[in-house]
Amino acid sequence: MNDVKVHGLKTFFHTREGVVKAVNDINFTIPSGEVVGLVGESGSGKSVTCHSLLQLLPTPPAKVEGGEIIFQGEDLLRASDQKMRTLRGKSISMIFQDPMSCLNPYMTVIEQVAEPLLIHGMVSQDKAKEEAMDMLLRVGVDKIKDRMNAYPHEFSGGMRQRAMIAMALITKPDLLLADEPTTALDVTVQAKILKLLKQLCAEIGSSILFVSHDLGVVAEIADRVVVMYRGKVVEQNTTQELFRSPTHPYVKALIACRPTFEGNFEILPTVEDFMESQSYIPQKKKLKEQSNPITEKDKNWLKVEELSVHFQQANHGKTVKAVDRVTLSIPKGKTLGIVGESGSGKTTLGRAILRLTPITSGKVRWQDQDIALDKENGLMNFRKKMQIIFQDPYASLNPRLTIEQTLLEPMLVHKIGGNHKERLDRVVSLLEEVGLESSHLRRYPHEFSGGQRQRICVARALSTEPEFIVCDECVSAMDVSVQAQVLNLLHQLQKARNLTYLFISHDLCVVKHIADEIAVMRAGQIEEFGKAENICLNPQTSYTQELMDSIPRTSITGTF
Amino acid sequence: MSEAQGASLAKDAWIRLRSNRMALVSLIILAIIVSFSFIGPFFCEYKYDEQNLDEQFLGPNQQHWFGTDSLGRDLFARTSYGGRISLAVGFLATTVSLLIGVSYGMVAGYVGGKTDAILMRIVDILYSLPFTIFVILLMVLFGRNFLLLFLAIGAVEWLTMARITRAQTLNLKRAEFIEAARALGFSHSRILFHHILPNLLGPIIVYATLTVPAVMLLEAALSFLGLGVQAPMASWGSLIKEGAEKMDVAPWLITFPGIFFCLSLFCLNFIGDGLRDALDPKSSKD
Repeated sequence: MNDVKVHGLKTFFHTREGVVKAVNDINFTIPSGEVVGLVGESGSGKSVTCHSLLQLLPTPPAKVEGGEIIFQGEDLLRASDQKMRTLRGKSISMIFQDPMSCLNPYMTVIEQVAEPLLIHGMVSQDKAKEEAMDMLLRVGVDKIKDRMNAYPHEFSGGMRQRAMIAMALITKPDLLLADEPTTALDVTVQAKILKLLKQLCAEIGSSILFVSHDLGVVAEIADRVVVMYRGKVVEQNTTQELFRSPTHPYVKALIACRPTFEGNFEILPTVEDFMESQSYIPQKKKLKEQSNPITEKDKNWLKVEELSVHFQQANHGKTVKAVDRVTLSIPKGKTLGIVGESGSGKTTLGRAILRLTPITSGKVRWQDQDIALDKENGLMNFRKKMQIIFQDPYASLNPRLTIEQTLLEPMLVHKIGGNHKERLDRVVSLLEEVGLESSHLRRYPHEFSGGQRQRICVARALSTEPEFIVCDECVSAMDVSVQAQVLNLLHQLQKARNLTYLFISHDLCVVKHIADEIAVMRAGQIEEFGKAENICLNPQTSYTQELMDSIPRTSITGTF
Repeated sequence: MSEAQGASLAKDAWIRLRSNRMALVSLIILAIIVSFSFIGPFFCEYKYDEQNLDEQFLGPNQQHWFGTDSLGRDLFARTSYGGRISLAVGFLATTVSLLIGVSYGMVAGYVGGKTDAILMRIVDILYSLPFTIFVILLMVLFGRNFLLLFLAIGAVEWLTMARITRAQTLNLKRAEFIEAARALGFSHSRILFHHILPNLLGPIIVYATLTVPAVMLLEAALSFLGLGVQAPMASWGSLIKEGAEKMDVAPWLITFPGIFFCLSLFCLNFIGDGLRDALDPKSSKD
């Protein structure tokens, strides 16, 4: 009846370099009233599928080459523009990823939520506003009476996403397309939004196509899961069944290679492992090696004492305490994980330790030497020993330098290696160490994939032979399969070079996987600090507890 | 070491530029125009300021290839002579404005804060000075001098260049690769010249190719006011002005200098586009 059937859908992109088969002959059904999760990594074609449904793709370059999408007895792919306009926002609504950029900053939130009703001529102006208020209440936007005339910038990220949901659901659509609706949100907010979305759609009776790269999130919300890989559907099943007994090696890999809260691998399995041998089984629960006892000298190898970083807000003159009297210590050769939500000051802390952000007060003791107040030019020797790897490997490489130049430059500045030949040899061995080839030397950053670029960033950080590396959300922007590779690489390097990491992330699972100790940050302060296992298994504060509870659990991953 | 790197970037860029047909053809045409301006007069038996009142307003013919003007001066000689002045003004003034504007804008954008505010307010003040009065003032103070023309034009054109450079630098400064460079302990000058400047090349080159024609037009306007090139000397700008007045009597007077002027502008634009693409590693298709 009201099922949505996607049958043989083919969407190709005609680019100058040739035809990209973004979606190549896929079939699936969205049963009425159910939540279907569409999962895949970047480039798998999940978003293209989602946009094809509403004919929202730019044509050209995109072109639907075949197939049909049956919605209420009609083929959406062949519907006229006029017909599509009556469907969009009324029978089929969409929620986008970024709540910051999807609301018009010049319209009040209420107006925008009411707009779909007015556009489709469903009710009068006053009635629409009333219904919008009602809907905003239902999605949990608080104090709505006081916010009658509020503009989007007066809402927090979570509230904006709630407003987006209200806008999508106000027409009581039959189908809701949600394209990564929680990816830009903090975990605690994400958990609430997921719950809300599921509950509301059940009340209204909408079905949802939930697109996400995150299996954990999908497991939380979806009744059925469709997994896409390189434009094809590789497996689809009910959520329970898919997680309990995945059949396709890629799906197995996808489930296994993301660090889970319960998992305890030292080396994460990767997609290659599964793809190469069909019968690959990751080693179970290999316990982390019992580390050698740390000597007293190494214990306080890097010590942060009462560190504060305050910012003056330009237009209000208010002081923002981004980091507020933080005290920490990191033993040599270990990893300290810093977890926190956006705005908790974790990134500022990492940068302040490296002196990339001016410190307001406090000490950073590096082997008993305070480097917090040195003049910038006195830092040269420390710069060499402390490095940073950033979140976005696209932005952190100079697009106009070849890899060779990028890796040679730090050695040149720090006078490492006697002559050009010697330095070049080191560059080659660095590349091999991070898993790239010497034939890549003359290429520019844009010729590499995201994972490869992050490897280059790692190589650059290693080029000065550092002892301490700050990893600032360095795997957050990556697909899980790439994330596993980079995490494994970091782990290997730590063992081989006795490196010390400060690993900053919003993702507790990742931090738990890699860190020996964890500090939970909130509003510029350390909420909790201790051994990784202790923090995760036995959180002491309610905030940490809430963080733990918000993590999407794939505890149904019984097989591994 | 860094010379070697520079060489390889320039070599890559040259290879890419060569494969851009439009840019290559433009380069050749521009080379022909330049050589026409500098060696053209040797092939002509008339001098640019040689008057012959018996031969006023002759159309193009065997003696006078481009015809003659109201005083019977040979237009071929005048056009090629005028090319020297126009091209020289165009390129020199643009270079001057590039050098001042880019370094000024880069410093303002990179240092930021109060320095930025002060430097940019100075630019605003200079913007508000009326150009003609500024030039007349210069002329009064230093006497009429051809070099002053470069100086005056350069002094005005660098302002926009500084603003563009500053805005781009502000954006780049926050890029993570600049922060990575700081974390690696690179000096400020290295970051500025090795990391920021190459990434500014695109907008700078495009704007520079727009500046050259703008400067040539400005020179024509100054000449018209009697502040620039004076008769019997000529530039393309002044020739076009003259030709425009006599268009109904002698259309060739505007046609020939006009063709040269337009051709060089087209060429410069194509070369500019080609250079921008050639210097951007992302545009290569291999």
